[in-house]
Amino acid sequence: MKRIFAVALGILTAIGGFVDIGDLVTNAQVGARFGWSLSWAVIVGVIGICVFAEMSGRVAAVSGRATFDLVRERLGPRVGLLNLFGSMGVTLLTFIAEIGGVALALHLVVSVHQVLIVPFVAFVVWLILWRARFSVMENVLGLVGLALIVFAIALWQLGPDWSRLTDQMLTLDKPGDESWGPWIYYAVALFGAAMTPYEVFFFSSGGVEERWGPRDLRTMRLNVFIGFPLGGLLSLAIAGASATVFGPLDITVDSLGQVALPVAVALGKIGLAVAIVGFVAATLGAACETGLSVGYSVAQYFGWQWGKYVRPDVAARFHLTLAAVTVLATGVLLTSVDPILVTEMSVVFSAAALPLTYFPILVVANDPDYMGEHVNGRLANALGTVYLFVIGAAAVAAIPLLIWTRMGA
Amino acid sequence: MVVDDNRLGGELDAVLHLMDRQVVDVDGRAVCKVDDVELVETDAGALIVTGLLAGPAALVPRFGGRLGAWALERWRLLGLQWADRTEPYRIDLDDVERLGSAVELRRARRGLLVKQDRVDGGLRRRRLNELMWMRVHGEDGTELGNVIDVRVAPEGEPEAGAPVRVTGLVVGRGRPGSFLGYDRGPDQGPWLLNRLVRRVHRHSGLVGIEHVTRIDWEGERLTVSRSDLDDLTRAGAPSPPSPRAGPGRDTPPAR
Amino acid sequence: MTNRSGLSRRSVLLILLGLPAVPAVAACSPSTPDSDSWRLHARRAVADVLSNVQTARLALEQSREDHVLDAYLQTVAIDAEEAAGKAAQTLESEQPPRAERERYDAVTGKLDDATGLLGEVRIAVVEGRSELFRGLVEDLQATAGQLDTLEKGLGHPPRPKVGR
Repeated sequence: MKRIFAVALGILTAIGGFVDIGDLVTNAQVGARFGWSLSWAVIVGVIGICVFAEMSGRVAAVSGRATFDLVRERLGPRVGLLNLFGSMGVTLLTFIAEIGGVALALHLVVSVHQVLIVPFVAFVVWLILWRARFSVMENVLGLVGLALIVFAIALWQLGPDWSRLTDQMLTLDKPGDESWGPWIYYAVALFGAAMTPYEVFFFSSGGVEERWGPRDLRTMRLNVFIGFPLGGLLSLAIAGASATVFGPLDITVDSLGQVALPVAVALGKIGLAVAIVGFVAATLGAACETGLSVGYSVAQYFGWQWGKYVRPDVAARFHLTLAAVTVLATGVLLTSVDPILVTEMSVVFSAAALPLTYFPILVVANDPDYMGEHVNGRLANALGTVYLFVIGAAAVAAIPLLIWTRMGA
Repeated sequence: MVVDDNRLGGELDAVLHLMDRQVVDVDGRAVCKVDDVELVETDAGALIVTGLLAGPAALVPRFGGRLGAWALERWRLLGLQWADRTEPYRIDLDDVERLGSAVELRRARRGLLVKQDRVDGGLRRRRLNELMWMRVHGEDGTELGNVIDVRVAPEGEPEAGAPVRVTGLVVGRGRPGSFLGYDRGPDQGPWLLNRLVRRVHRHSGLVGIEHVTRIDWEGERLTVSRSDLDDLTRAGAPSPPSPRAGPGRDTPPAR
Repeated sequence: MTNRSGLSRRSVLLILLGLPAVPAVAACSPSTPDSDSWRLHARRAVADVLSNVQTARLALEQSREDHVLDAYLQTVAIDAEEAAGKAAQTLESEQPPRAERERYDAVTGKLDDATGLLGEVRIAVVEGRSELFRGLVEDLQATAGQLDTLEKGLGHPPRPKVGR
């Protein structure tokens, strides 16, 4: 049991990256419209985030420096500030959306008005960020979030046409009734979602929170290579279940309620209840991850003490930042904005933040001053370089695609 | 492992190894970032590193050129009532225990940051940032490039409080810190990035401080007595013998 | 900073100046000629409403098999009605070209029926009148079929009126 807790950080990070509120709906939508024909984008994303999370985790373990520390150091204060705005844009918008997402998930079982649930959820999130021990947070939210595995069970129970699904997965083709524009748009969106910057901010800072040292490299790698593929698996399970149930009926998914329906079809009330518990835990986990990442980014740019591994009064500015963004999020959500729309908007900022985030990681992971003998090997460098190109291409394509396809319509 | 060594014990590149690094106190608590470095111009004309600077007054000018100047003016106007608004906070170099991946101090952080004193007799305080934007010209007028890094080294044993002097300038095209370190470690990966950065900076080189004949701080210009640059070597590596204008570092730059 | 990412002051300025181009590009994205655009919007609206009708039907069927929780069913029913209502309203407020006047009436009429039915579903669900579910499922099935035919019909331009 203790070994499972050892990889909780990786699992929680992956949950925030692969099954947060935006991805829950997007994965179901992609499944309903495209089946598994976009699963290659998820797989490419999983490999990419594994490569860079391993690098940033290694840097954090060996040097005790988290990722955003390095961004300013390697790119300078000016470009670093640009990156701060870009990645804060993504992370802050996602944080706002996640709190809204928790409210949406709770609304599935409790008929209380949004206006009442949102401040309650925001308060709970803030309480966790302020008071809960980091290990307790990651263990509880990470592992309860794994309840979403019920989607994989549901998919199995639904008895889909496996040969057709795997066929879609392996051939780079799209269903006949869809056009290439939305197909490429969703491919870029899924890839971008798999590699959002806050995942490496959270993972590397979490490694410092956990006091990783050079002896913990093996644990760190377990976190990466178990956590993120698991996240990808959950993505594919949701898409597959959605494809099997909604595909034949031409249903398009745009609400969280619809996402859970295939589980109800396959496994009844119990499955549905487990799925909703998974929704709550996953969105709550994502809210904590993004909230902390905002604090980490700002504190690491300006050099403030950060982290939950010290008493709140020792990291006063960090906690003040967290409180401020929580209040901001509450305010924004009370204007009845749709959280799912907010995450889709954050893709715009992701485009700018992606290359500026991963480039310094690749550079520092090669710096012998920092890493000593733990510099990148040939494989890490080869993959890292290739992915830098892929990330660059995705970053350039994201905004034009967003406009051209009107968000994948 | 290199990470254990104290970089301040030897030659280092101020922008690459010191600027924008995290400063931590003796208890491991974060203090600030190295927003700038304080230099003192001695009467003999040498430049000595005396402290680390932090705070918005130090950070904002780092945004460079006109943007930095404009932003600094905004900063000043937002706090007209404070006398020392544009004075940065200062950490004495003597408080620095070790320079590894972060700057480690030998004091606790409580009450550590104090505003820079007013200029006192004979010492002219400068900031590294002012050097970093300078254009470098040979005496015959050839444009050699911009200052993109500053090489410093302690004169003797750092434990004995030996001053850390500016010993050379890294000159080339592009902005300060452009190298990301690739010039100094020829085999640093990844391969493609290494080749790309070195190609972009193939005209960059080193100039010893002894060759600097004139520093125009206001005009952001620097004149050297050479018309070419030495090859770049890694800080701390034994440098190939190069022609020197005088008997070593103690020669003051001609005025 | 290296010029590699080109983020000099000039580039930042260019990016800022380029931002107004974004809405310009949006306006230039492949929009169809006017006569077709209503048809495409109508098709999309019908597809949206159809999707919500199917969702409601599926949810009710699952409820009859005791597969869903009550609160969950309520949320799904309310969401479906809301989304369908929005889609129908957006289309109704759009001025159709002359050639499409007849189809406009047919389409908006059918969409109104569908959203009305979804309203009935929502009421039945919230009031817990599960004995009505079977009838509603059948009605939803029928409506779905009609909407499907309508959607396919909108796949081609209006047929010119043959002389009366």
